[in-house]
Amino acid sequence: MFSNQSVRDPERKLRRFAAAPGSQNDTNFDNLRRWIVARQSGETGKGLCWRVLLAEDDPANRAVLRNLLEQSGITVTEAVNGREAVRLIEETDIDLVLLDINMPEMDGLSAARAIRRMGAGKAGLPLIAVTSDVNDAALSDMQAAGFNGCLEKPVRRDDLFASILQVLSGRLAAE
Amino acid sequence: MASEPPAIDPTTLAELAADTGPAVIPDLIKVFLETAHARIGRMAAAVAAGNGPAVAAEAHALKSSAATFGAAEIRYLCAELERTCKASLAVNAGGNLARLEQALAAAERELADYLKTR
Repeated sequence: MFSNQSVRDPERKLRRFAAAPGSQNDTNFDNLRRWIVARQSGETGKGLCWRVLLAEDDPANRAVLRNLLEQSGITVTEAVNGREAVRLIEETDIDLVLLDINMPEMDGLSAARAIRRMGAGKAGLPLIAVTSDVNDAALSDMQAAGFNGCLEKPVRRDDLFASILQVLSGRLAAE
Repeated sequence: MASEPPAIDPTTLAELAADTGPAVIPDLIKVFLETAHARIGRMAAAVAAGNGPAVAAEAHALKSSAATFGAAEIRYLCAELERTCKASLAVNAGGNLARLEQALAAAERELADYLKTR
């Protein structure tokens, strides 16, 4: 399912504008942290360690997103363009991919299409686009490239984890 | 005379600090400013070389990180540079690059004050 919470969830958008600094809802962050701890401790019998590939060419945005992900215990692998992201996905085990759309060498759309052409076990990876350019045409392009969702920059912590939770819950339902 | 709007939106910066934790904010600001200086330098070189797509690419990336740190004027100017340089084959930077340098200087001052007083 393709979703864009920033655009399609008016309550979240309104809350984002109306919320006082630091007063955001921590429910999604805490839920994800508990879920990951449970998975890592073998509660589900799979002992899964979550690894997120973060492809973002801007060092400042990359540092912010890495910080947000690592707070929850997620292991982050970084790529600075789409080509590096595709190579890292081919070579390593990744559970979820965050792809900036506008990157040098290979953009996020091309990287998503390349990932969807990979063999079994890689082609179905959850892909979330992270972009500052959200409009109907861009969303249509992301959906056609195979993204599962889109996060609009600047990314707030709660939006990030709400999006990841949504993708993970869909993946679990399919397992 | 109306006062100038702040170069840094305090609400956005406070939200970022709440999300990431205040301890890492100095390091994140340092990365943002270093990257912004480097990008503006590359934009100036691309303008001199008449390379519109290169200006647009750098402007797009800086627009995105400026939004993260609440640097509204930088974000606006980068959006203008991206739009004008992407829309025509020739570089059309106008006075925006000089304004961008001024906006970064103002942002740098306000971020330094923020780090001193928080």
